[in-house]
Amino acid sequence: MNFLAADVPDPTDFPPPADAPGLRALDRSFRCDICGDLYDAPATIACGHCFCSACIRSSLALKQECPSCRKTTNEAHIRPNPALESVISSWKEGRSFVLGLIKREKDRATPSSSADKHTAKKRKRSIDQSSSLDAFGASVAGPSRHAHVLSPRRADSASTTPKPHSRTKKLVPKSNSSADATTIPSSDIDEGEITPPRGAAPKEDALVKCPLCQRRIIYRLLNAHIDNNCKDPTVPSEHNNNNNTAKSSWQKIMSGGGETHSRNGIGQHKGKHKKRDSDSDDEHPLPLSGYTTLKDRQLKDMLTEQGLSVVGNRTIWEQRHQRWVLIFNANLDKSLPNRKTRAELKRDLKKWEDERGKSKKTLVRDTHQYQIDHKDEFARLIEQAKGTKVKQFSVKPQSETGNSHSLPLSSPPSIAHSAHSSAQQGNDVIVVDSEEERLSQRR
Amino acid sequence: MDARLRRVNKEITDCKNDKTSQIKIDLFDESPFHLKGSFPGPEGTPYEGGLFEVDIVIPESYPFQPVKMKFITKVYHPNVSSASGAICLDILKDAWSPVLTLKSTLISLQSLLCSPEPNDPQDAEVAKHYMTSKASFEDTATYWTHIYAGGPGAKEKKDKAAGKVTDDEVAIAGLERAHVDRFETLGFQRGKVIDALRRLNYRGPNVTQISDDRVVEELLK
Ligand SMILES: [Zn+2]
Ligand SMILES: [Zn+2]
Ligand SMILES: [Zn+2]
Repeated sequence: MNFLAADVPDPTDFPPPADAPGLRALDRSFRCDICGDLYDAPATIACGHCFCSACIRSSLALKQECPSCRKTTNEAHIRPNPALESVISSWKEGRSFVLGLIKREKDRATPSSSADKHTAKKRKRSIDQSSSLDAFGASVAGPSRHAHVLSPRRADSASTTPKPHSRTKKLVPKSNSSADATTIPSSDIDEGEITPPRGAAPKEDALVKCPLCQRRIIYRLLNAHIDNNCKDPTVPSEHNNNNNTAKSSWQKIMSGGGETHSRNGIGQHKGKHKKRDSDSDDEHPLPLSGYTTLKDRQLKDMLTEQGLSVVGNRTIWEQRHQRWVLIFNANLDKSLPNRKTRAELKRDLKKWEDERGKSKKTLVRDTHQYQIDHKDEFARLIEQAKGTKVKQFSVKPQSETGNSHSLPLSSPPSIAHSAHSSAQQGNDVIVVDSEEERLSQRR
Repeated sequence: MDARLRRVNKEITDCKNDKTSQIKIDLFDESPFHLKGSFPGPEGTPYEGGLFEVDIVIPESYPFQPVKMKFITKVYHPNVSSASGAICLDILKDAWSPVLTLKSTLISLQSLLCSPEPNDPQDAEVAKHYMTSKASFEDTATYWTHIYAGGPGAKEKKDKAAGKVTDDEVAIAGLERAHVDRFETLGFQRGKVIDALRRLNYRGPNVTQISDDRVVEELLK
């Protein structure tokens, strides 16, 4: 891993507002307040706040309230936001393009320093004050010991949502910023920008649903159709669709490469047979499960039913199934052409399990050896850490915001308790691929 | 890079780029998940002029679980344990939200120093002191800021020689030297007197309420 040295794209990739009005704010408004990345499967809840589908689902599993305004809500309130989704995918392209233009402009203006700029790392960009409003620092809790959860970034939601924390205020003042060395992060593709998910795009003559009007349309015509405000007369209707090639290619996408699904009606699973012959967009979200009452056998069956590994212990099975439900359902909040296949989702699940296993391992590892292994990295990190000097000036007391009270919190469902406690226990690296599974069972 | 690491990375970058908030976040050791935060004490409070350091541990399920924070610097405050630095603040517990950040949480700690909540204390003795005599409490908090947080007037580093009881300890305990002296002359060990008077909250108007017999009783415990 490379931690601080890694270029993680964020709004400060753009010049400050004085130099490039609106660009930072624009990039910031396309980012989820939970993960800080560009929205992935943007999903709106009842209060109007928007997060990545997976982010809000993770949050709601622990506490059934909006993370920004604390209004009580639950999974049933999650609605996909296809309009924003298509904005984001355009922005991923446009973002790099605009950054390239800015950089070229800058290089032309200051040809002498262009060589330096070219290799400059984003981390070394000059410190400027307006960046206090970027990424996560958009605004901060007012001086109260009680929660002021803030959602300062979206004016639209602020206007439609009653403000529960009227005393929330910005402690960080806006200020005019000075020049800012703009560079393009070297790893802009780090958050999957530009590159569409592999294998997710349908064949160009495949039949897909328009994310806006839900009517069916040939994929290659989709952009033109949307550009035409969904008034395109050439959209074939569902009933005179005889395109078997398109249909079968679609089914392949939806089923993740022809995997079979054994169904045995165990646990909380409600019947949800796919009407494979008529409507390929008929995938239903998986129900959330309470695991505490399930027998090991039932839990394993549920995993098998989803084509998942049963390697590991009970805790791991629960985590695996819960995570699977989450990423599966979040995937359904993407418009059809952007959805991942089952196989891709499984790879994501495996990656997730591997990363959790890794972080656990790191904790128990011999720290001395770890230091030796990562010597260069540490040296760099320490250098960076030393790079900032704390400035000691003082803060005015904000006594007027003293004794507010937080909104009542709904108690988390029992599933959250079990998920949380089990999350503390799991400690193995888990493999999902069936081949690796066989290997590890043999060991 | 996993989502938690990416987020922590962005948060540290954001803090580094932000000169106005006075919040600083450093790596504590090798781990990106064990960090050291610091901020100056708020102006117009007993903490003014001090620099307060905070131990930050980022749990595995961050940002869905709250970040763990405690003061490294000793703080005399009703909502901070004078012994361990543990903090009583709702957003560090069940009022956490995943949209809160390291920076916003540290700013909330800074704000906590401005507005103590003695009715929901972390340190009961300090809270009692605060409620009995705010002026005396502020003297003690100021003294702690001087000797522990590098506040102005911190000329003498406290003498930590074993067993040596100095007047510093009277000030650290938030007591008056005259009171300690008086019970010491009764033949009690000075350190014991300080402990007993602190437990009894022998300050301000309490001094006239608490009889000498009660103090002696406490001393004989
Ligand atoms: Zn997100
Ligand atoms: Zn909300
Ligand atoms: Zn349409």
